[in-house]
Amino acid sequence: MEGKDIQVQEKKEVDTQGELTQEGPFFVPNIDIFEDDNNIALIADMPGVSKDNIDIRLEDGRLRIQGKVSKEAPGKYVLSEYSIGDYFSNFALSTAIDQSGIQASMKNGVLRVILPKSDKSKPKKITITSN
Amino acid sequence: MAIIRLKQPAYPGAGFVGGHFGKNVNIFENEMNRLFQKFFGNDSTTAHSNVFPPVNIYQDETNIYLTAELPGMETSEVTIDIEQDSIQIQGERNIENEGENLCYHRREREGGTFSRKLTFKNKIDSNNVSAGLKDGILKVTMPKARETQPKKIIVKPE
Repeated sequence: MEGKDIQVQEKKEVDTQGELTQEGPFFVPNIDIFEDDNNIALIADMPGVSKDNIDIRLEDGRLRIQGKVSKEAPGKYVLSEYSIGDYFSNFALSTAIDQSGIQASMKNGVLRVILPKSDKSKPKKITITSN
Repeated sequence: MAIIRLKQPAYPGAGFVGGHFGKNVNIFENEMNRLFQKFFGNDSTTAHSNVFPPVNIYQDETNIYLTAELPGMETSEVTIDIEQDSIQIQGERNIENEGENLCYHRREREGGTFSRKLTFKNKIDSNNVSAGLKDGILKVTMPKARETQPKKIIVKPE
């Protein structure tokens, strides 16, 4: 196999302000966020989260993502190298989003959210006319 | 007598998580470590390994189970090789190229190749190993070879 070796990333626990109402650790997913002229896209690695166990909300310009993971163990622990817990992430969106056009999909534990920019916030090209 | 808390290897599997080839997973020792840890109230039992993918291993009377987080990977991208007493997981995680002229605000997801081999003290029934990948979690079920399974002997009246 060619190519670079994968880098090991440790799971990051959520840094909470205040109490959580649920027991157990919460993790911040590894996320890519990028934008082009029309959309903002967000891709999050959330292994163990199925399509039915994810909750995405947009409130007051903040995007909140929460994913539930099954904590069932098939047997007695022999070795534990990674912890299992739910995922939580929260973003402030700087540009106006066309809320009705948001699309989200989940595949193999990876969440993909496309947030279309509202017409107002799309860059406008101004053509210069010569007199 | 002073009680000195061991900082370093006080977690299960500490003996082999360096990811080196051919080292043994000593189930009994791990179990003992775990019990000690429980007793002393240090409940954070996660071993931090420097190898990809980090795995969790479980067992019951008949099987050893291995789970690993491989988000975004398809079954065709992972290869598993089983021997009598070892498992090797190999693959490559590809992060798609999303296009040109994008402005990235955050880039945390990693791609690349990986290979990892784990050796068990128990022999496994290599013909009956099953593996599945669901929602980015790999789960391998390895039945223990018959001779290593616990046997129940029924006492009969003479």
